[in-house]
Amino acid sequence: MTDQHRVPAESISPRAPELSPFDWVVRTEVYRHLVTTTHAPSPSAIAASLDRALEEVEASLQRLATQHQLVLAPGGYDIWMAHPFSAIPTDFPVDTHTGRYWANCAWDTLGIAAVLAVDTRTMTRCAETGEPIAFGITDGRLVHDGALVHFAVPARAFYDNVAFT
Amino acid sequence: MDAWCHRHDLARGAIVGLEQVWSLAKHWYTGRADASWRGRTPDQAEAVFRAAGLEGPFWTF
Repeated sequence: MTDQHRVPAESISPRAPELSPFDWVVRTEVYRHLVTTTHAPSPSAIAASLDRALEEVEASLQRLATQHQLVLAPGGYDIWMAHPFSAIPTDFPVDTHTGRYWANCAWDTLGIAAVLAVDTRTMTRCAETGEPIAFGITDGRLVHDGALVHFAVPARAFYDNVAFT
Repeated sequence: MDAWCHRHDLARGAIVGLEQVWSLAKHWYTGRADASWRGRTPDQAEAVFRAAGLEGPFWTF
């Protein structure tokens, strides 16, 4: 079985960090909200939580996206990806005792287990054959049936097309 | 896998077993949601790949 999938394309700053302390606070709030609710916060929810103007938060989200700390949905400021989390349903659900998260790829399904440090279970399908693939983490150990992961995009091209990557 | 690559007009990339992907995920993502997270430089990211046993041109920025 194989899992043709996407590679997380964030985190590596394209140049020296240019983010302000406030930007990092915004990023932390995004992850806090995602971890605790399983959903990404809207820009207005971030602004309300931090007691800051919406325009400040939107500008911060844009800087975070430019620095590959987040991925925004096209044409706005809504969060699309905060790796390893996806803000929208994907082919990679991650079920935990606190609810269902969505990952961007097979790597990210296990990334969510690493971030949360909890047991997880994912049911997906082989992109080539449609064969069901189940894997997850139980008591810190990987449980799987021998699936392979195909990393289609080399690291140097992670940012060429983030949606595909 | 080769059929999938042909259908999508892509070269075959890197094939990695899930155990190694789990190792990579732990190295790559542990602490990612922490307030102290500050991202990585390309050199730091390549070090993470190497820690998971992933080396070579495919894993170079």
